[in-house]
Amino acid sequence: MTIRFRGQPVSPFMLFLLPATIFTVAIFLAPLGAVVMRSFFDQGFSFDKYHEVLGSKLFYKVLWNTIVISVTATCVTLVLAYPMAYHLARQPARRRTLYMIMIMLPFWTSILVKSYAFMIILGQNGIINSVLGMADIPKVTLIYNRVGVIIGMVHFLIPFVLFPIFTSLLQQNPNLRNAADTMGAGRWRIFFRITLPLSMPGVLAGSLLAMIQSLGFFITAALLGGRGDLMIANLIDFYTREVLDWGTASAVAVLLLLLTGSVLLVLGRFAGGMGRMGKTL
Amino acid sequence: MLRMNAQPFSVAALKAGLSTNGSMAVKFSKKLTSDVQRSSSSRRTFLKTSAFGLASLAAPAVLGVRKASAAEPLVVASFGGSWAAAMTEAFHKPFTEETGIEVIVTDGADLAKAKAQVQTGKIEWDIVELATGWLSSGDREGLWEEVDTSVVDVTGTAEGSQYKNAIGHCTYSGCFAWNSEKFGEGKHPANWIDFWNTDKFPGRRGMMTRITGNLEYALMADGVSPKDLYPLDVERGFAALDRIKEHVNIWVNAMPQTVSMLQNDEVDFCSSAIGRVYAAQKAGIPLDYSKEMALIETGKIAILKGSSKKDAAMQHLAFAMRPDRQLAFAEIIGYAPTKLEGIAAMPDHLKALNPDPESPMNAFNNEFWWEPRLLELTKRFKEWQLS
Repeated sequence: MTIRFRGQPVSPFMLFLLPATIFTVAIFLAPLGAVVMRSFFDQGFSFDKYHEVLGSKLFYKVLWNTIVISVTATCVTLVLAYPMAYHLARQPARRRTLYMIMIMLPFWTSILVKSYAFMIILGQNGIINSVLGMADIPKVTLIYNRVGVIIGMVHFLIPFVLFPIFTSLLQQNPNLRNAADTMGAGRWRIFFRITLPLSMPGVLAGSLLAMIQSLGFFITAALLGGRGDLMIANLIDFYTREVLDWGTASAVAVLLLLLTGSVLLVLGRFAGGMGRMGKTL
Repeated sequence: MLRMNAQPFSVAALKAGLSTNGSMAVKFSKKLTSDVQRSSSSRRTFLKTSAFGLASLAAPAVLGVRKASAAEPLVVASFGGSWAAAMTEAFHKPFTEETGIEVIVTDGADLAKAKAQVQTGKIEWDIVELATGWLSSGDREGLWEEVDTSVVDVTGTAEGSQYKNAIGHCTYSGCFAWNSEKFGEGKHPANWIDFWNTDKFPGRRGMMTRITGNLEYALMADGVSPKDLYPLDVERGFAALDRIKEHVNIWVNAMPQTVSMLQNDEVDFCSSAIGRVYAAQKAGIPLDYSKEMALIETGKIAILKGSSKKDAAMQHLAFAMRPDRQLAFAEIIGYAPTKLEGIAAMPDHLKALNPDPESPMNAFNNEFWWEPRLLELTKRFKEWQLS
């Protein structure tokens, strides 16, 4: 017996996807549907909630904040993660495993706990300022402002960006570099002409992951940010818990979903294209 | 930590949770575990029990509560921390001793969750401790049962402390605090006018991230008499807030944090609540607070609409209105009773702690002025913060 879908034979192993599908539909898609419904239906169908959100200055300010914070965090993460991935890809296998465990360590801690740890590290009398104080350098404000938010987010995002880049670096054929070397190319030229272009799919995939996660960040902005660091997720929290306006909260959530979706579409298409390019090279 | 992860959307609750050790949830799940174990001790039961125990540890405490309703204990949704501990000592424990009705305290009282319970009809809480604004917002949504005054004696209480759908069992006050070792006599602001005077009292300021309270403080700082605050002059208040904005280094999300901000020297003068400072002082932290221009507020409790244990809950409310219990609560945490008899019986050190509601220098919070404007003003405040 062959199962067919649109005329194509489907592997019976596809059945094993069923539990995951049911799970996703039940605990993700169904509530999501409820949120979408709630944003349109209050007393009968209307776009009122969207009118309200899109007509409020608060929303645009928060939207702009979210985009600026997300782009900044993604760029900083890229700059930090790339050299790490590069270094990691050039380690012997055993040491690489050790390093990878070290990179994964933050994953074992919840983002909330990490945020509290940052309060201890970055505070006025925190570890960093104490060390600066010993060296007679004036204190720096690293927390309860934009800097704090970016530090917290970058710390969380690094593995998401590092691993795609690392994988694409690892997949590169070392002979390409050797050939370039033989032909007399310097180390920088090899990097910019061969290694970097070939790793672009990884860079884009990593940026995509980082960007999408950043757009929905909540705890970090709430705990490490200052007065100007309200993000969209915090706005949803505000409508949900502080003013109990769940319709508006749902409308903001749907708009956030659209934003994330469009980033995924644009960057994803770009990353996909680059991926094919990487293969043909 | 597990419990905190289970409710990632409630920052305030999370922050409040930090100051607790989660002992209540743990105690509760131990109780559950032992209940189940008593029935049988076969291997299968043991397995079930341990799974159940683990689940109730990992899940929010609320989840397990429903399962235990066979014994019909009252479930109180609390702010947690030192507050919940004091509530337990002064009210819940003696209530159980007297009536035999058990009381389970669950942290993470939250208006959105209360609304969700009423809307879905799955009532998990019987009694809810109310933060500022919850009574009026909840009234609008129909979340609270009316107080039955034939059961609950609300006579002989401080004026304005009792409500149709909630009792006021204590009063607490907003103030600002500072490190008393760093700022001695005369070195710190004494009232909100001084707090706004950044030339005379230079230093980093901390304020709460909410418009309620801040608007009152701003108006008092601008010269409005504490007794003539309401109706609040919103424009004048925001204009006054404009002047302090750049001097506020930290906007604090949750009240317990105000104390740690001062303790960690993140700010010099921070908006706080007298009870929090009192608890810190008792713990040996050198803090002091302003005694002029306090904003006095009532600590309120309400019964969640649709509670199946409404009668027992009403009994509990009546118990919380007993002067001796309110006095016991004041002894533990410092918040004054609402029963006049209890107020009169306060020892001197508690009287000194609490601002005199009769004094022309202190104000009374009016959350019913806020209710119809809260949404609009909160939005305006958020916008103001972002600009």
